[in-house]
Amino acid sequence: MAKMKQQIVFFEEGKTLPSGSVLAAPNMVAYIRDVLDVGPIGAVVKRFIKLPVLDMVRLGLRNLPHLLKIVGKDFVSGLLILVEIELLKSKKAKIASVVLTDQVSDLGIAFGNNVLYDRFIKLAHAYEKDAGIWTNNFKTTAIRLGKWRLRPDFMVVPQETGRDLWETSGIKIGVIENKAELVFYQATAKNEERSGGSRLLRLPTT
Amino acid sequence: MLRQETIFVTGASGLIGKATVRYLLEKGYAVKALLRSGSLSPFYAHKNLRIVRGSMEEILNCVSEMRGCEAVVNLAANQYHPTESFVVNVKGVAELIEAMKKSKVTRLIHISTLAVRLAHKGVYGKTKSQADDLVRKSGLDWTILRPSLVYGEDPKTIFTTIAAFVKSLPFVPVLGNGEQPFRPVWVEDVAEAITRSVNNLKSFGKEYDLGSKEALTLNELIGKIQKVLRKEKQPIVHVPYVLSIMGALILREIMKDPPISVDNVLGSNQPTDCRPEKAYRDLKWNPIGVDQGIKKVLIGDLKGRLPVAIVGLGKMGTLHGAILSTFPEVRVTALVDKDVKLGKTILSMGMAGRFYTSLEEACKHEEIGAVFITTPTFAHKEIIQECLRRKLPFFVEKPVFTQWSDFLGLPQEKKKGLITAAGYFYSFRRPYVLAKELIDKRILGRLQSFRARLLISEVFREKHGWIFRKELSGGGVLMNPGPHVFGVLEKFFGRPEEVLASTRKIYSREVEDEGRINLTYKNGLSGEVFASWSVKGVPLTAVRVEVIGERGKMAVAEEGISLILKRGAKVANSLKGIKTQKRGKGVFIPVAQMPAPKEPTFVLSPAAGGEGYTLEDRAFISSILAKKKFPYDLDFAARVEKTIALCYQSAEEGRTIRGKRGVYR
Repeated sequence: MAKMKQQIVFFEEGKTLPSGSVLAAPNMVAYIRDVLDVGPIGAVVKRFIKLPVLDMVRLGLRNLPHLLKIVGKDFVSGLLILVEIELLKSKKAKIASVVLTDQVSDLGIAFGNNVLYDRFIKLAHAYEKDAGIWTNNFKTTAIRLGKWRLRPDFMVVPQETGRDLWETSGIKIGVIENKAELVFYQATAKNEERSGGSRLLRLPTT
Repeated sequence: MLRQETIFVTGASGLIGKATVRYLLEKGYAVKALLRSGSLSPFYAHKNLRIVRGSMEEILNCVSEMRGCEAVVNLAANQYHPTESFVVNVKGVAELIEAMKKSKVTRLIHISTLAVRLAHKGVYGKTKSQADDLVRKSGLDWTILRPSLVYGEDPKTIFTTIAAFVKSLPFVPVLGNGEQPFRPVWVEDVAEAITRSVNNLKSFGKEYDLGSKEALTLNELIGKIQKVLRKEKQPIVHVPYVLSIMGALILREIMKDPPISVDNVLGSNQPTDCRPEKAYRDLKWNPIGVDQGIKKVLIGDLKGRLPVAIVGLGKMGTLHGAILSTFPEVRVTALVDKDVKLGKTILSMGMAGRFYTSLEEACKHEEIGAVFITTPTFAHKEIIQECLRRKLPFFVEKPVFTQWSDFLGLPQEKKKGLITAAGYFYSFRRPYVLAKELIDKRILGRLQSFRARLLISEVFREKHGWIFRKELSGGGVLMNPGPHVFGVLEKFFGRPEEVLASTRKIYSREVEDEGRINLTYKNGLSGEVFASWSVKGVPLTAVRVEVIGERGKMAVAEEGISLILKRGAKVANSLKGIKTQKRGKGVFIPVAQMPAPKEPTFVLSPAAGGEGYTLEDRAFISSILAKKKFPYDLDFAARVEKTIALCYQSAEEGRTIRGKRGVYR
């Protein structure tokens, strides 16, 4: 099983992100802190006005098709603006990939909101980043994404998640082994039965 | 009885594929499901299910997997792409037939489409028509099934697109006049028809249309969807046929996965003449009515589920709504908030239920069996009174009231026997549950003293939300989030006899940012509490309680329990089976090693104690269903909030306050 380590980081205003790290976006703790002070829209505006003008234009143009939804306070559109602002602000850090934070992704799974994941994956790819989904409920999330025929580039799971579950999922998995360290595993042929040229995965029984 | 027959299913991740695999497994078949390499499996593990990685483009690689299978169900299809459709739908079928012959599987159930009957066929109709010819000439024991419009829970179907339009747009666009009749069929019924045909000799060499008993136009179907979603007044806007074709062609060029295809336009504007009677007769197949099917897809099966209303759609309302959405025994029927825009945002998250601006209005239109009150504290009183008036069990976030005297104003006769809960979720967090067990088992012997801390980095300058206005929140850090620590102390030690407190404003103008409290208990136990929301380096609420007893000391916090016992003190039985780590002179029990919940738990934000919220909600719902008292109810909240009220009184009067007998209820 191939193994690779990378750092997982949250965007913080004024802090430099380590190059090649995995950005966990949006930083909900920082956002909620601001929401308590200036409200949900105010917290987005506060971030937006700190962008360079060119990035403001880029963000505006990219989100033009969703303008009506944004005005109507659509959850996914608003949330992805937060992600996009953090992606734009992390440009210099040359992050390797972006992962949807667990607070948001688990919420989306609970509500069955497939649009969130679809648009997040597309957004990450538009910025030429690998798209990851961070979840504390791996089994439910993997099955729901499978049902929606959505495929992120990788998933991030806590260490307690049963290894037997993710080893057979067929997807690249990042396990949080320390507070800020992700260890990536890619399922290889060793974990899959090869039969007649096709790859056969045996699902774990519950 | 378990059958040993194995069915090989191509296109297993599609709308019909998912339902068919599930249905076959339910009926005792073993299934080999073909999924593309790298795609996530949409199935829960099952001892009779095997995932085969591959695709129709390389189906010949699956010969050895097919060997020994009873039948192949071909559901793989590409509906839109001009070239890939041919590769999957025609070349793929030719190679599938070859692979079946090589693996000596003779039975093929091939899913085709009614689009093959259209006078003007799109790419899907043309390629499927060619594939049907290949199947007829294959020499296999084939059956061809042609479903009409199939609907089910899948984000990528015409039905789901229409439902999304009904939910989110002011009008529903229809391509063409929408007057062609068709027979929409529920995906589970299609799965049943496929399964019934596997061993049905009558169906060999025959072609069947699959459709509902009721023929209806697209306009009528939209009307039915609107009725279920209560959007009857929403207009339908017809886009002229030619414009629709042009639009679909443009979308195909600019979008990888267009919401509407040319085939959709052609299909919905020409007669398909669906005749399902032969399938009803030969397959003994009896699909459900369209009205019933639409309800199943759009609302779900409602029988036996507790209908719940959530009042207050902020952060806590969203949290509880998400948790409740994962409980199979619950359905959220009403979402209530005064802010209409917030309601829209919450609905856009995907939360079930209809939006109302008052609980009274919600009760008029919806079935409600319990209420979650997650509004700001100042709004609790009115909603609690409404729940009491209607005898509705309710959960209310803490603190329950801005002033303790409000507890006294509650009508006792209405409260009697009603199941209530207050949101003291620390009572369900593993470390605090285990710590209480250890205290009760007298692992520390007689308790002597304690030191409790509640810390969070939240206020470092003057802030302006309702929480910082005393008349709306009732106070500062002691009221919000203070109840967490006071709730834990109430759970551990019961109510104090004496309270001496001082509070300090550092940044806030109206409410305290810091509080220091000394508590004395009847049995000689005493302790101090420090609460502050103005300390740096604590991004999430941290509650730490150190307890000293005659046999040792224990410190409980979110991450686990530290235990130092004096020489000779015996470890209680409750520590048996729990892995401990040696730390200094004692041991540490990390939260991950503590007894896990018996049922699988969907956890939101574990760092913020998400498991505790889920367990709390589950316990409350179980209490209602079992008609049992909830331990952390309004009376528990009244005791905790009385202690906080005494803290404020003590701080204001600068003296020790003794809790009078009878003031706690």
